[in-house]
Amino acid sequence: MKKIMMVLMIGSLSLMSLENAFAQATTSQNLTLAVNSVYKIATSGNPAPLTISSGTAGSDILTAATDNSTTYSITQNFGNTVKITANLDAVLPAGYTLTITLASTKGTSIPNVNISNATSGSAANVVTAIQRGADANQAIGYSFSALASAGTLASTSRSVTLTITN
Amino acid sequence: MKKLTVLLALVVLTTFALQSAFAQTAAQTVTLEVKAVNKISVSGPVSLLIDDAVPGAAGLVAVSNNASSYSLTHNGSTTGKVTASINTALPTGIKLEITLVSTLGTSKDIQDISNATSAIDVVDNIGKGKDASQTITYNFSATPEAGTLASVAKTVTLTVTN
Repeated sequence: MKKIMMVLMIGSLSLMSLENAFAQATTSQNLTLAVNSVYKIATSGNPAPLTISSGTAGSDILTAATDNSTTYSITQNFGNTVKITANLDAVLPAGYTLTITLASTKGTSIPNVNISNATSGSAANVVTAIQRGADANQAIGYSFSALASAGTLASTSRSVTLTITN
Repeated sequence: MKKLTVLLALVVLTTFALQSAFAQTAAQTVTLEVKAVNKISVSGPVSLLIDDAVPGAAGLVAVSNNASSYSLTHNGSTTGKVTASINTALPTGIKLEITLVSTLGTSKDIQDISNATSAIDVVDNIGKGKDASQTITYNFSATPEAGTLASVAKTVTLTVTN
């Protein structure tokens, strides 16, 4: 009799456990997720005026003016072969040279790229093989040089466009 | 006097008869039971798209959606909880988080379900009662290193249990 009672009790406990285990309900929600290609680039501002005002006696090459006070930042998730190109809005007269160097931790920097004649149709590569990710506050270096034989150049503005592209 | 006696006899007999009519009873056994009931539903699908970044920022611009909601009913003797799971894990660098508001229980706040193919708790200490139209918030974020993600459907399963 005692054994029967024990078996019945165990049976009851098992049923209670089963009831607990099945006391649940589920529902599902469908999510559509996507991450598009993102290319972003920004510069910190404009460099100081690049003014040539000195030279070495006997040399046609005047002393270059430089500026490395500005920076650029990028974020891209497209791929590992992204590059940055640079171009001017209008070419410089013959005898004047503007070069640019972009530091990079995510890609391969090409130093001192001459962009004097690089317009939108002929933009020059300045950083290549950029890996996916972000590269913040990287230095932009400008060097402006001139030949004495080219004469003076009245103050003029040029717009330098940096483009991140694949 | 004879008439009075007859009248009294009639009254007594009538009273007996009435008493007899009201003395009938019937018994019925009614078996009642309320089983443990857990019910949960959601209001609809959700779409999340990342397509922007701040130059130099470590992450792409995250997006959120709190347009959907869930409702539940729970009468269990023990406190209930809601768990969440995703049918397949997201790629490395892509994160999906979920937050369920709750008035009947305690929200676990923001929970990362990017890899939660095994369910994780999102609400616990749910008491008996109902919780209707409570907000579900999704946060979707990605690092640029993770690359792009072509539009993909994922199923998030919410389970209410004891």
